[in-house]
Amino acid sequence: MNNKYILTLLLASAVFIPSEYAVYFFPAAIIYLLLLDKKLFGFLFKKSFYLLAVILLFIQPLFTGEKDFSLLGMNLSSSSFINGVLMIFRAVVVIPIVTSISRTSDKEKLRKVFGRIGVKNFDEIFEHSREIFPLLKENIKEFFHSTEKRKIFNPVELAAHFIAFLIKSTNAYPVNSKKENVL
Amino acid sequence: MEKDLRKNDIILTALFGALWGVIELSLGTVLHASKLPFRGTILTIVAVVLISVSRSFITYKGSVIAISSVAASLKLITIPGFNITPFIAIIVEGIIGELVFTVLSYNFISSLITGSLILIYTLIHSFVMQGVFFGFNIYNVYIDIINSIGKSINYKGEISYLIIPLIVFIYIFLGSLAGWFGWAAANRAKEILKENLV
Repeated sequence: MNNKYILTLLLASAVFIPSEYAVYFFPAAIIYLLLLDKKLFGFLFKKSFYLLAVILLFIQPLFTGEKDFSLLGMNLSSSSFINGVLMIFRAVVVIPIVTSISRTSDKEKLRKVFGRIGVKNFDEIFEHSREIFPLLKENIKEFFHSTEKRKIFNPVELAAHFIAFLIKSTNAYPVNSKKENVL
Repeated sequence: MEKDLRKNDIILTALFGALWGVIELSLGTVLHASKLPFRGTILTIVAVVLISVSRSFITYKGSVIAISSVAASLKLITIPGFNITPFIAIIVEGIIGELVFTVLSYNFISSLITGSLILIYTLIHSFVMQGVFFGFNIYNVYIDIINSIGKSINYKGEISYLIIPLIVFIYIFLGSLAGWFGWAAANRAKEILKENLV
C-alpha cells in the first residue's frame, strides 16, 4: 500500500483510538514512522514541545486528579501522569504524520486549487505577484530609507504613506513597460 | 459567464498578495528565529491590517480571498518544505475577511469586526491544532490547571470563568485595534494619493 494511504489511516487511528488500545498502537506507529524517516521527529528538540511535555507530565499530575504518589516531596496523581504520557505519545505519532503528509504534498497541485475553486483571474494575479515579489523588498527598503529623512513618527501616518507609496508605484505599471522599472 | 477583473484590480490584488507574502516570509522568519511567544498572533495582527487596507482599495467580491490565496501560494513555493497549518490559517483569515466585508460592506465597524473575528480564529486555530496533536482532552487539562491555581491563591469559585473570557477579550481588543489601524491607514493613504494627484 502507498505510504500516503498508510499515513492517513495511521492519522485517523491516532486521533480516534480508545486509550486501552493506544498502548499497543502508539509504539508500533512510532517504529513505522522511524523506519520511514527519522527526521520527522525533529520537533522533539523544540522548546515548545518541551513546554507542553512539562505541562502534561509534571504540572497536570501536580494540580489535577487524586494525589496517590509522592515524588521529591510533592504529591502527584498517577492517573493524570498516565493521561499525560498518552497525550505525549499521541503527539509523537500525529505530528510526524502531519509533517510527512505535508512534505509529500504536490505544491503545484495545491496552488492550482485556487484557480479551480473560483478565485477570479488567479493565474494572472499570481504571475503579477511573482513579478512584484522581489521588487517589493527593494521598494520597502527605499521607502523606509526616505522616511528616515522625513521623520514620520505617527504609526497610522507612516503606514498610510507606505501604502500610498506602493499604490503609486503600481499606477506606473503600463502593460508594455519593462518589468524591472516598475513594481 | 463570470466577468473578468479590471487590470487595476488585478495589479492591486497582486500587490497586496505579494506584500502579505513578503511580510509572512520576512517578519515570519525573524519572529521564528527570535523564538518570541505569540508569533502567530503577531503575524495575524499584521494580516488584519493588510486585509482591512486592501479591501478599501480593491472592492470586488472575492478580493480578500484572492489576496490570501496569493500570499499562501507565495509562502508555499518560496519556503522549502511545507507546513500545512500556516497555509490553512492564511486561507481561513482571507475567508473570514471576505465574508464580513461582503455581508456588512467595507466601513469602520466591519473593519473592527473582521479584526476581532480573525484574531479569535487564531486563538481557536492554535487550540484546535493542540487538540489534534495531543488529544481533545488537553482542554480539560488546561481548565483543571487554571482552576487549581485559582484555588491555591484562594479564589472563590472557578477562576477559568474569569481567565478564559479575559483571554478572548484581549484577542478581540487586539483584533479591533488592528482593524481600526488598517481602516484609518487606508483612508489616510487615499487622502495622500488624492493630494498627490491634484
